[in-house]
Amino acid sequence: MNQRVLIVEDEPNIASALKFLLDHAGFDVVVEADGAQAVARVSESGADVVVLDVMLPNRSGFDILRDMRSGSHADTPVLMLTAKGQAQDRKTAEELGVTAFMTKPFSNAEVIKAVRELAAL
Amino acid sequence: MLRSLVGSRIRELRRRSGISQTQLAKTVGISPSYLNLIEHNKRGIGGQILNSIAEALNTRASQLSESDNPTLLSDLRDAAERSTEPVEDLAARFPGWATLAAAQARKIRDQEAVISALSDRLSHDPFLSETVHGILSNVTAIRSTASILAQMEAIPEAQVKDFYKSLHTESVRLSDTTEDLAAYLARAGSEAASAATAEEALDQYLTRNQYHFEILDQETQSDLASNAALAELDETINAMLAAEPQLTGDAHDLVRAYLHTYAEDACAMPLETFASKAKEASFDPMILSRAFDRDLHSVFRRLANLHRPRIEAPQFGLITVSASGYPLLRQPLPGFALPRHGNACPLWPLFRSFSQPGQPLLADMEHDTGQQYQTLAFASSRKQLKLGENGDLVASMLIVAKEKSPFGASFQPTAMVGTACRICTRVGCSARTSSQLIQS
Repeated sequence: MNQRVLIVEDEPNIASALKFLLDHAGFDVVVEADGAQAVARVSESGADVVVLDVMLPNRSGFDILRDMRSGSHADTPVLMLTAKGQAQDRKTAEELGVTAFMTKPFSNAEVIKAVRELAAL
Repeated sequence: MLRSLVGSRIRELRRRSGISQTQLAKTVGISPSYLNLIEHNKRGIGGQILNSIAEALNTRASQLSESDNPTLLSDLRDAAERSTEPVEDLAARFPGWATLAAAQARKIRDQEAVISALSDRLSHDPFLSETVHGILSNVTAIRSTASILAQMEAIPEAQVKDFYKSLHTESVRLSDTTEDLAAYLARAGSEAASAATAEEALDQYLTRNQYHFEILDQETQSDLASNAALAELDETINAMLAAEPQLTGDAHDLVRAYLHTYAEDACAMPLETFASKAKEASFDPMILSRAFDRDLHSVFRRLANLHRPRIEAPQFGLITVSASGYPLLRQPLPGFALPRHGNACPLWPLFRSFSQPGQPLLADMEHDTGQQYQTLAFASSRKQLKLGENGDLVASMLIVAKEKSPFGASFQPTAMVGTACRICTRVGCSARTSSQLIQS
């Protein structure tokens, strides 16, 4: 059975490219664009890895990560994507318990490699 | 202070005259080692020895001992950021070059402050932040999609079409965003340049006029409450501004606002009366505030522009800042530079006064140049507040050389301060927020 990846990303063209890449890499991929629904989707989808954007409508990626870590997803690997890439964002994500961090724009190979590594944890 | 340059002048003149230290010492009847100490500004000199040296060097004693220029030395110390001896040497031996170096250091300091303000603006501007985020998202989508199309095979036809559509959509969005950004930067660039120039223009105008406007002191003796008096004042200020065609845009507005405030102060506190009252009250701003029924900020301003050739008064520097620390009015004191764009030393009593609005704070300060100053700081709301209303605070600080201060003892520990972190030489200061621009 394929491992499952939940992509939480509100930019449809980025989500679509990521979904295609990860599908192609052998994962079962689910996409969620709304920050407010993200934590529920982690549970529903039974995600093995979450690819999480920081800037989302309704709730930020940081809030989602905080809820995951304090709830039943304390150990689910999370790859955080941010368009800012500033030191403070990385620090905040690390404090909240992110597993890996990647700044946009990234290469397709980097994303696939990172998700494979997280799925193997 | 006198001895700081006399020795250097003696050494320079002796060398030019081709006389050895031993020869000169013998001629004037002192030991060569003592002359050496004098020449290196480590011993004071005056009286007979100075006269003898002057005679031996074929010059006048007054030429050797002409008074130092404390502002130049202070500016040079800022420029050199190191021990005082080479600075004094440079000022004595090469006054022209020293003036140039000090002026350039001042310019660099001001420009650094402008760059810092612009950089801060770039980091915190919401439009820029949002735009950069948008551009990075567009680029990410384009890069990922283009890589898929270029590098992967057997992509279903419908999916290829979707990817081409997304490439088109993202490239149009990217194009629009970058156009907006270019327009914004062009606009912001010209605004920032004019703002910096406006403050500089105001400074230059005030310095050129030595912060005195006799015409406003003479013409605003009457009450400004009537429309006719205000119209007359406007006419006078218009005429003053017409004589300064280089003042345009923001600079014109800043100078006009300054002159209006000056005129209001001059009307409420007429020069001669104020000077006489101030002297009688030992320049105590509290007494003057009550006597003229004006707030302390106004009294500080009037005190700061009182010092002039025909009036005996201490020379005060003055800075007024908004609650964020942005300078609204600055009148530097020779030897005590005041930053033009904020980022002043946070240890100034000026900032402490924000925590005690309405309470004047008298304090002693030692500047990192070693000069001692006394300050009187006061913060208050710009307007009368209604119950429950939050005040828009401003704070002003009068600065005066300690030895010339009329205010008496402050009973507070001396604050060890600088002008701003970027040019402050203090080591291990817990309030430092940025490193020194030029490391010694």
